[in-house]
Amino acid sequence: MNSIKGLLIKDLLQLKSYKKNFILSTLIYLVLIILESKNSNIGNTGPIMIMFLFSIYAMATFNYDEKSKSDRYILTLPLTRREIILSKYVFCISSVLIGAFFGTIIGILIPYLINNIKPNFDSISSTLLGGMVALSFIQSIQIPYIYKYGAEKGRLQIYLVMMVIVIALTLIYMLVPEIDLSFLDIYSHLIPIIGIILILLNYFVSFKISCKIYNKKEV
Amino acid sequence: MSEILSVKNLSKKYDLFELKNINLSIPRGVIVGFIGENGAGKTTTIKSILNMINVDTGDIKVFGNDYKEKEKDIKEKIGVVLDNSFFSEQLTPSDINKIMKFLYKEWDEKLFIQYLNDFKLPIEKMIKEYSSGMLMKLKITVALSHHPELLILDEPTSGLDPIARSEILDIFLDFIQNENHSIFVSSHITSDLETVADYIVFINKGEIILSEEKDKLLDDYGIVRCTEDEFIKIEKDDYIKYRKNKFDYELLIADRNNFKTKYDVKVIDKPTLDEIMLIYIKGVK
Repeated sequence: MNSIKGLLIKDLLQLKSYKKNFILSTLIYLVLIILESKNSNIGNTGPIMIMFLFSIYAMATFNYDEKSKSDRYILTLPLTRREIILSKYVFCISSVLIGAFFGTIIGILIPYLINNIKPNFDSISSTLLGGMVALSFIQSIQIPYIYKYGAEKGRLQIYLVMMVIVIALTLIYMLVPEIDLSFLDIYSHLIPIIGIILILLNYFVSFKISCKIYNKKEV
Repeated sequence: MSEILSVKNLSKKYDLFELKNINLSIPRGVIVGFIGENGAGKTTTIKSILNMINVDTGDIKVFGNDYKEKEKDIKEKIGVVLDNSFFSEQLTPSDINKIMKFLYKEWDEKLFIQYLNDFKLPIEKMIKEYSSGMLMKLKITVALSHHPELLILDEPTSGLDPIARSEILDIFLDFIQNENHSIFVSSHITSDLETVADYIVFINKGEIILSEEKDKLLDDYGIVRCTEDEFIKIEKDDYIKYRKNKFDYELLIADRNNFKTKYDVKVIDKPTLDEIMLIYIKGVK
């Protein structure tokens, strides 16, 4: 466990040079959230935006490792490849959770301060869950991709994959006739459980794939 | 002397390059210099020894242990310096200390700070602001600060000025004072190895072509410089390889004294490692 802690500290310390950028982008996001809150009753996209922002910074640690070739150096330290991968997943998942935490605070505070609206916890929690499922899906594709192709090379490919997924989903939405899904309402109480299972499943499968790729990788 | 590192029949094939049947044995208490031109296979061998790449065949044992069983235990006791790879340049030595405390059981913060002070390396300065000499000293400092028994160093003196190189060689000599310690150091700056190494291993085109005590190489080996007429009279078995130059022939021989008794040749020089390397690579038999 100590080894993973060391790698998490490394990733965290690497990000300190992004401090100014991070504060600036958080402020820009805050302004956008405030503007949105003025037009709607709840800053729904706020938590998601903050989660995405944290996730982007977490993923940037892959670029740092690649640029300094520290991914090579790390393999000389007393660590197993599995621990190296696990630390990255812990770091990326933590970024989503911390983003969710701050996103929730913002989602509650800003509508209250701007429009004096009391928090709608149902709405905030479903937004958070939706955002976390989406991010778990994105990170679960992104991380093995980076292990396979590298942070720099993988970046373009991951955008292309995401684009294909978005286009495919849009086409399905446009082409498939509207289906009456109201029968699902009776299962609505299961949605949080399904969401959490989806998140865990995404990361678990992705972790296994990353381990398989990285075990064969020669850096 | 017990063996600290043993490599048997190591092979690794790439599309354009191949490590062929590498055998190495490093006892405790010595510095082994690993020489060869760029692309000869030095770094690939080191990566194999450190389990950074999957080898095709071969048996690698460090401290008598196999990586498959005791990878972490082995790496706890190795200090590594790689030529062009280290922590992110955004970090400071102070950050590295915070990280390494968790990664090595034996990380010695006091020793790390003592080395930093000895080498005049500022603890709060980002790595990107370090000169190449300072960076190399930092890499070595990090490699030494968890009390390793074996140092594996890939080109630790390349790109450094003579003073920085000399300081780094002093560190190696100091480390080797403990008879349980060994150093395996690759370098194409052979003069450095002439100063510190006990053994020389020479790799060429993925094959180890020479493995010898340094003193034997420098004291017994010789470079014969002779005319064509003299060269014709020399038996093939009495030299290793020869080079034909514009005005003379250069022959690499394994035993200067023996050669002197057999042939009447005026010039037999003591070789440098560079000359030995050159004739091995460029010469013919």
